[in-house]
Amino acid sequence: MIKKVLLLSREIAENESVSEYVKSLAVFLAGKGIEVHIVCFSSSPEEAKLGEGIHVHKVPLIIHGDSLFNWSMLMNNELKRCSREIFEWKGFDIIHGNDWITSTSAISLAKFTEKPLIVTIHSTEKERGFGTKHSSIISDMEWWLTYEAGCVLSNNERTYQSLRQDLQLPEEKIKLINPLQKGWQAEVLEIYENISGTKVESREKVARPPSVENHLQSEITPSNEQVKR
Amino acid sequence: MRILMATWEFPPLKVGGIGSHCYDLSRMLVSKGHDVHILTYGDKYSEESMEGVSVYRLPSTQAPDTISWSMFLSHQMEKKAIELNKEERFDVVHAHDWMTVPAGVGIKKLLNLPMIFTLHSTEKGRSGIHDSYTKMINDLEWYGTYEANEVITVGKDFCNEVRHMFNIPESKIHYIRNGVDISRFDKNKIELERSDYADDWEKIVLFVGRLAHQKGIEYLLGAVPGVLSQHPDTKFVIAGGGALDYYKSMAYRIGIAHKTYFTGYLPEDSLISLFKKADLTVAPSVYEPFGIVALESAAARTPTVGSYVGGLKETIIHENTGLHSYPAHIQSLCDQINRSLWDEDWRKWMGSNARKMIEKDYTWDKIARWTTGVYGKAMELWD
Repeated sequence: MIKKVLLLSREIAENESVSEYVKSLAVFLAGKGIEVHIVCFSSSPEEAKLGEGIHVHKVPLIIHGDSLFNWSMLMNNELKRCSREIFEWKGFDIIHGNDWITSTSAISLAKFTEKPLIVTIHSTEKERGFGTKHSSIISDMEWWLTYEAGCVLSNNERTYQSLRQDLQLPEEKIKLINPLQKGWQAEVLEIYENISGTKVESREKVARPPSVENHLQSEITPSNEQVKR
Repeated sequence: MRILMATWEFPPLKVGGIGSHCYDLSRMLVSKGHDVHILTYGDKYSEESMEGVSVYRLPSTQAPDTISWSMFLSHQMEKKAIELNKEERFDVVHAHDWMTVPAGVGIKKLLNLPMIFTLHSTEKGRSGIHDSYTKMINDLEWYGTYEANEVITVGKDFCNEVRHMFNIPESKIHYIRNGVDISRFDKNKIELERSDYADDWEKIVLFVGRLAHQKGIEYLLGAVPGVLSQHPDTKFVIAGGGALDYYKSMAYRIGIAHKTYFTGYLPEDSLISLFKKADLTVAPSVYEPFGIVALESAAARTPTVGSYVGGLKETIIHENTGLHSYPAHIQSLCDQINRSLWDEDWRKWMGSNARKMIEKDYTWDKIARWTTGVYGKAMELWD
């Protein structure tokens, strides 16, 4: 049984697609009697009220980054701190991350709490055009995030195909759930329930892109030569 | 204590001084019964035990610049930290310089550990703050001092500089000097041929360091003609990598190319041998947070002529363990080198004083004890 859910998001704003996705899901889950904790970045102390059973934790960041990537890596440290406090205080059964921008907190929290990780990829860097100097490292982050997740949700066919081809995710690990269709939230909840009942094992089935291949191989079997030296 | 240390470089990788600092410190901590785990960079994942210190080398990924590269590396460090923390909880996390600030802060916040941050130098001193990239590094240095429970700096002057630059409360900033491992000098086996570096009748004046503006090599080269006019039998040996061609052509233009010898990068054993063979070491730096070169020279019983700047203010005692010159001042440097070259007995006396000074004040044993004192304060074991 799922009782408490942690949702990680870059922000909770008005008329922003990821925020609307997270809010809509939170309202549905709360309606089912599930306690929802949303942890997100905000530079303003203004409280967000989404209704009974939904706790929105806004965390500030005291340092400005020189790029979105560097900023997000530091901002995630605040997401980790806040989520860890929630975990110690109340606990949660599922971690749900959204896009690469929550990756390091999602991955580290899943390892720290040993709770299952679900990730929604709203779009991949490849879909967004791969047009900045950080695109490659962001794509690596997306790869790691989807690699560590027990289940990856995509919102549309295009992202689904990008996940399959660009991030080389196996078919059984991705679920296509269109948030524009009625009742999509119930499908997400079903996935929560299935994944919390089964052991997370699917991550090992992922194919490996060349950029991280060496690392993963050596992670599994550290080279003896290195150890001796 | 169970100590987690993050440093981007660790032996055998040696770029600046942070690697050997962490190695000497962690070995000493282990010998005092502490459990030390090092997270560092490696091109492939590996684990090893080096004299009781557990070392984990973690790869990063292709990144557009060093900041993003270190951010990615930080995440790898953090994942390893989570795993090691599950075996047994750490007491502290200790980060060195800005490159491990994201790791230190992430581990602090996720695992709820007290964080210690050592600043070895600042971007402002290294290259100046002149664009958004160097500003971000400066910001990360500040952020490290802001998030850390306790901050350690390696020099007294540098400690004040950092305290004002980053507005650090006096109660949480500490000054723990760097040290030298004297045994490495005493046990060194490599013997260089003196005749490869200078003629038998020549005195050797040695410079050791990166060939960069910060080290003030142009002032040394500028002082050479003045020294040669009084001591024609002098050879200037300049050991270190960096802007080699730039300084070689400068020496050629001044007309002293035949009296200067640029060795390029040398391994540590060879440097130690050179320190022992030199008559005098020079440290003409314009900026120097600590100035380890004066201590290394002292370990080899060779006195140092160094600028009165930063850490060199302490690591040289004027007319006792060496001589001070005005920073960025050719004539002053020239005068001090000449003074010391006149009197061999005086140089020997200063060299042995220098050696006594480091045997007393700059041992890793003391440094390790001060460091665990700071750890204890971060853990709120004492005030």
